[in-house]
Amino acid sequence: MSEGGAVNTVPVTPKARAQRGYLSQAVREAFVDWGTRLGALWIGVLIFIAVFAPFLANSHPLLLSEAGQVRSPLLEYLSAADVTLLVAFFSALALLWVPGTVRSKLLAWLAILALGGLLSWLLISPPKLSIYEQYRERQASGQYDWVITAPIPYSAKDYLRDYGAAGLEAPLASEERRHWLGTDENGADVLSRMIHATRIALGIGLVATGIAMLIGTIIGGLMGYFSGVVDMIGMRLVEIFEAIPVLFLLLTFVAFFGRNLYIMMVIIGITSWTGYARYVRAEFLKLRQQEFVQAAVACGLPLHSILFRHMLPNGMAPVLVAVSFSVASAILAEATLSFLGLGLVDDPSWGQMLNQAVQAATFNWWMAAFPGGAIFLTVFAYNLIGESMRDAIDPYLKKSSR
Amino acid sequence: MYHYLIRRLLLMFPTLFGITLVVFMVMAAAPGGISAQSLIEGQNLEPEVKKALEDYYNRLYGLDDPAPVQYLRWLNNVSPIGFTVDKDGELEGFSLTKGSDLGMSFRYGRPVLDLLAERVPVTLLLNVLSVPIIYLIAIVIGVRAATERGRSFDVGSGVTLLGLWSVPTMLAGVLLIGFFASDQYWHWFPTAGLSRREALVMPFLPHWSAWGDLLLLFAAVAVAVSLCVGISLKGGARLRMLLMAVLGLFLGGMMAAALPGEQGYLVTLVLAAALAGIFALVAYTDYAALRTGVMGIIGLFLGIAVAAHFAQGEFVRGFLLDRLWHLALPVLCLSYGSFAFLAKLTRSAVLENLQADYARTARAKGVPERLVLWRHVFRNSLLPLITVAAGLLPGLLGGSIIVEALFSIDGMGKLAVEAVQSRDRELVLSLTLISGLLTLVGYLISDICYAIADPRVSYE
Amino acid sequence: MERPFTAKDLLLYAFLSLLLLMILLAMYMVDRQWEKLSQMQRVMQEQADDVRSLRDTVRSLDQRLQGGALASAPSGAGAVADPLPASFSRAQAAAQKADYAAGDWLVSAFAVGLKTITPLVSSDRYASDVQNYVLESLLVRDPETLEWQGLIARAWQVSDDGLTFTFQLRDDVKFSDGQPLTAADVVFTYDFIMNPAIAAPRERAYYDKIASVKANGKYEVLFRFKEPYFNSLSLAGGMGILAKHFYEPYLASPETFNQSKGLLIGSGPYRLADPKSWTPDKGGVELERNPRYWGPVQPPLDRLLWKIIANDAARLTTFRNREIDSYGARPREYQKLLEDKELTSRSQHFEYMALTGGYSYIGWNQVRNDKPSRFADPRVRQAMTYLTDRQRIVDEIYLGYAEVAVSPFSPRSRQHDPAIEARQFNLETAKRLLREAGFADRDGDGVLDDAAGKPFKFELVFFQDNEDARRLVLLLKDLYAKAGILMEPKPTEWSVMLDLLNRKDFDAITLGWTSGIETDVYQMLHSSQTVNGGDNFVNYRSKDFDRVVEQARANVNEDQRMALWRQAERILDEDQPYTFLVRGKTLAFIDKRFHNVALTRIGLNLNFVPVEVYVPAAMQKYTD
Repeated sequence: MSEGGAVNTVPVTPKARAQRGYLSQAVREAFVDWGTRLGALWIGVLIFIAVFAPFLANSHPLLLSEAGQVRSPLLEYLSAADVTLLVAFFSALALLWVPGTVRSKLLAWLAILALGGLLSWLLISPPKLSIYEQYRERQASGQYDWVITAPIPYSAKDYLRDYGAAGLEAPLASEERRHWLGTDENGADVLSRMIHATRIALGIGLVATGIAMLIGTIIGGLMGYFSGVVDMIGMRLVEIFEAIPVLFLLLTFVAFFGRNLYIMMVIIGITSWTGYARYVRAEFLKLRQQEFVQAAVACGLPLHSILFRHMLPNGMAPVLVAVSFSVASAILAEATLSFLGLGLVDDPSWGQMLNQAVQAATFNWWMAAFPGGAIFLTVFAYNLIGESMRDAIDPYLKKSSR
Repeated sequence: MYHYLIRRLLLMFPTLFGITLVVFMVMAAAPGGISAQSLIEGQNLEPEVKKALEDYYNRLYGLDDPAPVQYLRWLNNVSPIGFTVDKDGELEGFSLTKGSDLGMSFRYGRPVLDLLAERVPVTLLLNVLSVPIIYLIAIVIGVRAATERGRSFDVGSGVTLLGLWSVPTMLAGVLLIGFFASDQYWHWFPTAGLSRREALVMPFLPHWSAWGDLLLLFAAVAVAVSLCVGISLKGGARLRMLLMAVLGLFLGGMMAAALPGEQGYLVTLVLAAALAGIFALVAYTDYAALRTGVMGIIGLFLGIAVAAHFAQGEFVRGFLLDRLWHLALPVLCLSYGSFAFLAKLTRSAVLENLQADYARTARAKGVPERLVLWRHVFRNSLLPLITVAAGLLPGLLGGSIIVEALFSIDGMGKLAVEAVQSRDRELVLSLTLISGLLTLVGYLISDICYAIADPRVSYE
Repeated sequence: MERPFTAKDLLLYAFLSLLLLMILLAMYMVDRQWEKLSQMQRVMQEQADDVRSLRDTVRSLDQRLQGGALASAPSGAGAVADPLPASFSRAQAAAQKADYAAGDWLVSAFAVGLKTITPLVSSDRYASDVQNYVLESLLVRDPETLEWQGLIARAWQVSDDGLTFTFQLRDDVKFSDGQPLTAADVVFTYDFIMNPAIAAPRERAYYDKIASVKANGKYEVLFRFKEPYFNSLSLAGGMGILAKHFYEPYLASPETFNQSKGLLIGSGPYRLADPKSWTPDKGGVELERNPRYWGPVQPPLDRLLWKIIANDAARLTTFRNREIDSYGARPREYQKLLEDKELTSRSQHFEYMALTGGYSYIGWNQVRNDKPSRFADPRVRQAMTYLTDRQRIVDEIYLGYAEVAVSPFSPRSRQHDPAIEARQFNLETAKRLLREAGFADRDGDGVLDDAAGKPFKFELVFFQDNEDARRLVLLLKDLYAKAGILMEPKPTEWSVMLDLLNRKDFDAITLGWTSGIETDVYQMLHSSQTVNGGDNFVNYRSKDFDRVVEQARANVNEDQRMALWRQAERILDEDQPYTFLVRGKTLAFIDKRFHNVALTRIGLNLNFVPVEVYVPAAMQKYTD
């Protein structure tokens, strides 16, 4: 059941008020809703988990003492992406306390992020191969004086080779090891994989939506501004992309580019931009008749200035409302791909774990319940936020609900 | 209006052309593109044998031609007017009456039309069953949410439906199969397919060897349904909840007892409590229509269960019942997620009309609120729902890949996946052509519906 | 002003659509009944024909009796004295068991939908499973001794040069429509295959080794081969005989035959109810007992049924529900299912190494993009084999239901030299070999580098839908990491994988080959097969190996040939073009009501023809 039929019926736009103020007001109103707060809380928790994943679940001990020498394999094995995420998180936290406008804070954060990312990619090169069982083996043979491990002492890709287990153990079934949520078909700890998969879920949602929004806004904006022939050709393009079964594109693109996380983000992004294009087009068609746009054209401002500085900020409201739903559907798209056996192999993802609940001979409830539950909660959270944003921005419903 | 219509219809052609062209290009360019090698089954083949097979398939389907030639040939075959070709592949001439031909599927070695004729009814059957259910429940809940706006039913139903919408289909399917169709838990439903082999030789309708059983069935169902409906309509909230909770406790206990193997008290307790809670919640709802409906259905199943338990003679399920039994879980999977969107739509449409001037006039005339709602407001609120229905058109025949894969149902969705994975040129192109056509027609119909519904919209 | 749409209208419409639905359903019902009726009509027609021919026989017997012919020619006694053909001895033994009874069906499942079951046109294993019950060949193999025995052929002779085979046919064999099977049918089958208009390129390429097939009288056939070939008897004796009177008309319109779905008739113990009308949309195949079966032992089962269930989990559930009678499990499933008391109490399970079971391997591509790859060095390939802990793969991936594969030859066949043993996992030896080949960690990142400083990193291609392969690859990744080798799993869909193989564009690949009773390694490892489309996609070239294999193939003396095969095996063991992984056991569950299910050297006898399994009368489940 798609929303395709309803997409082209977007008649509601508030005109009288300044859009930006309106949007922030809408956001504020949305957050009055307890559902939105819960949703935001859950996503906040996920962000926290994603940032601190290596410290929450890792086979490399946090600290250990070997023959009197203290070292931290966890920090040695920290990857550039881990460090970048940490930088992003702490700088965002710090900036929240610093006074200043939202805009300048955002710019500062992006600058820090870029710098931190660049530096960590250049400077940090952890060993490329990890042999996870070495710590357990050495600890068992008494080579370490003492060891402090992460709360969950298993990495996502630690398949517990030293135990030679065949995997798929129910939660807490094993006596010697503690797997709170059981193990998957390869013997890896499900909780650990779920923690590390949080990054993928959040990342795929945001990046895929970002890509879709970018393409959709540009194409939709051009269609709306120029109308006429450009609009007609653009609408055909939109229709073509809507009419081609998404699955076909996904299947062939996976065959094309292989299964890489980033490529999956791009694939999901470029198969879901058409909705944005329609929204932006409808907005721009209305805006281009208005005085301030006409004035900007009359002043001889360059096209990009008219489009992006004058029209875009005024036409973004419906797009931003759709973002939350779009993130949810991107997460579902990843889960669907993984479910069809086209997801990641080694890297953890919720959809791929859910897939194992079906594939094994018997029904492994923990492989369905936990990763499936995580997908559900995340999608639900985004949908809740999106729903209250939509309600808040729709003046008619708002009026009537009072 | 007619001008607009003709323009839209004409614009469909370049779009369809574009769709098939894009699909063909992507498929031809993809690794392992369109070639005879994937048609050859078995690996232990000597190169000569392999070569011979490849040559054969190349000749049969023209697979060694350059991609543009392959596409143009397909286009010519599909278009109802075009060039005719004689046996040796030479052009014979231009014909206006040659008719369109979707060609042969490589993978199945059968005409695409045959495959469609086989698969479309299956998918259609699933959707024909689930769409009315979706609409019925969505409308019932949406209307109530609008009249109760801001109150607990509105908020509760909104959140619940949104929650249902957020449940990934594969999770629901896996859980349903895992719990209700595997003998690890309750084996109530079949896991796969659309009917058992035995059902093919069964009579069409269910059959009882003893008339007494049939009578018993009717009596039990009548008693149980009327009891439930009676409680729902006449009983007070306290009484309803109490009775239903007791029923839930009892059924939960029975369910726990039906589990294979020994179960601890905890499982029994949790199950009984959960079922009692759900039943009590149903009984608590002050939305009489919904409550009575759900309780009536509970009564129906209760009656059937009682009758089945006490039946003496032999019972032949019959083809129809067997089919419905196989369809229960897939249809459930297809429908649960779609309520949210439609209910929301119904809600906002009804809200808008409830405050419209004509509704106020009707109320002012002294028309009872009930009549205002159902005779005036509801009728006017149906239009957006109908508009949306046009958008369902491609979905109706497209099929759900996940549901069909989970339940091994040979419908259009599975066909599409198999076609793409085996690079079946004719089949992929035909499927995209059909789904593209349906999508475009759906847009057109919904635009026209929109124009009819709202005279302010003009397409001149 | 239009009339408002009221609830009454809604009811009316609902009622009307219900009525329409009922009418449609009733029509469907009538249609089903009509089909059944026509089927009954056909059966009755056949029975009438049989009765008529019986009456003819009786009448002629009567006449002969009146003429006093019977007294002088004891033909009846001759038929009794006719000894039971060896190929039927096992079925006969089964029929003499105390609980033997005829009746019941065998229901199996196919994982893939069938395109066609017309012989020659069909190419998959599933279609040949069906044809196995319908078509018969001149000879069959004894499942224990693996020797050839006559089925349609009463006796056969081989000329001294090993090029001519003469078969004497039985004179009592009839096709399932009552027509006799004669030498003309055998000749026709060969001619039909070799007719270029018929879509049988595969068979045509196989039978290309035969120079001619000639009939000598009504019941004798001569096969003449072009060159000596070790497998020639199985080529000639294993050909499924087609009915000339049935298939000949299609020579006039070969396309009809090539496009056909279900043209299948033969002399075997089972037949299609209608030899012409089967189509794939029937959702399965159903064979019924051939009422005119010529064999001295009639098949016990009434009906054979194959359903199509593509989903693995669904197939298992169907078996659990007893809707299918056999299930081939994967190791992990098998282990789980064995714990299931309810299931094991009503089924029998078998685990065995099938003689024709095949093996899995990793192929190391020696030439990529026309440049020798790092696997061109035999030391590297040997090191990889040392690193591939195959005992661990057997234990952890196959849960012990497999054995380490040493070479392409089954350890149970005479082709294998028992002196050759599998390389055990040995990290130190592997590291030493890699060091000798010039690999060392030069930049300190934990990954080995070659002399030019390029890290030892490769992609392992595997088929994405194979669950066991996925787990295997992850295990290998961790094993290779121990030696400082970075392996990246590359799951690939089937069509892409074929494309990679064709272009030889991969580092390493894991796949499996099936084996024959005598395995030929020519096509996958002979250097001539490195051509485009050839199966030597790892670009293995060894002059010694080529020479030995060529000699073996042209040698019809079994002992000499086996010695040559062993020599080839030793070369392979040294060169390790593949790292041979494991040979998996076949793990089968079969419903308990089938009796006399037993293991033979060839494998389980469930699907043997003549049929050996039966269901005792008390346990029978289906009736016609």
